[in-house]
Amino acid sequence: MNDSDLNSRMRNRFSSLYTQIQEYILKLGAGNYAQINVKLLGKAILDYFEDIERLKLYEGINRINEAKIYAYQSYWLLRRKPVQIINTSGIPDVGNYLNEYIIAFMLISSMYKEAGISISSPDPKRLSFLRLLIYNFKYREFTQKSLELMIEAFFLAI
Amino acid sequence: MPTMSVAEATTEFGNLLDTGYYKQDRSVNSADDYSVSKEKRDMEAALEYAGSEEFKQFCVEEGFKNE
Repeated sequence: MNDSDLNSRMRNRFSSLYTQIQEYILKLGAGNYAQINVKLLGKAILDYFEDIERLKLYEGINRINEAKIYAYQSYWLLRRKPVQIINTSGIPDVGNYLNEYIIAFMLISSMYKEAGISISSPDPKRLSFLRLLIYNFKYREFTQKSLELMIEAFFLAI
Repeated sequence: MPTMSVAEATTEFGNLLDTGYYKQDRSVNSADDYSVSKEKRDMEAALEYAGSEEFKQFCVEEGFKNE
């Protein structure tokens, strides 16, 4: 892959992630106190691509599956935290965890879509899963591999 | 501070790539294997979920001011 193609792929991913994150910022009513840091979102994407490249070299594999893609991408977004608070006055406590919430929403919607399950109709089990995921993102230790295990388990269980 | 549009932000990211902002600690040579169609599907799924009743209810219960 030449530099031009690679840059194009990274720009596409940036555009996609920026669109999703921005939509959630607005839907969460956080538009007046939070915004996306372009440099940090870009860094998360580069870190992710580099991590995936190292993984392929180490494992000797040519392609990676969806579980790895979701896990590694979510991990680096959670590490880099591209959503930044720009105004602290009057924000709700949950507003301090926008990255954790938004990345959980994005991960859940991708996983359900990949599994062929509708995300538009209400599902109490999904809400429990979502809360557990956010709790883990906020308070527990996790790695790319632990996220991958969780996602693989989800795909196997459905 | 005004929010950047997707196009503006993507252009800024592109400029950062082109001007070597990330170069000093980066050695990326290949993309992942995610298809453009799945990337688009995921984006649509995220936007769909953000507009769902379940999401609205969840936001209120968690203490967000859903808009």
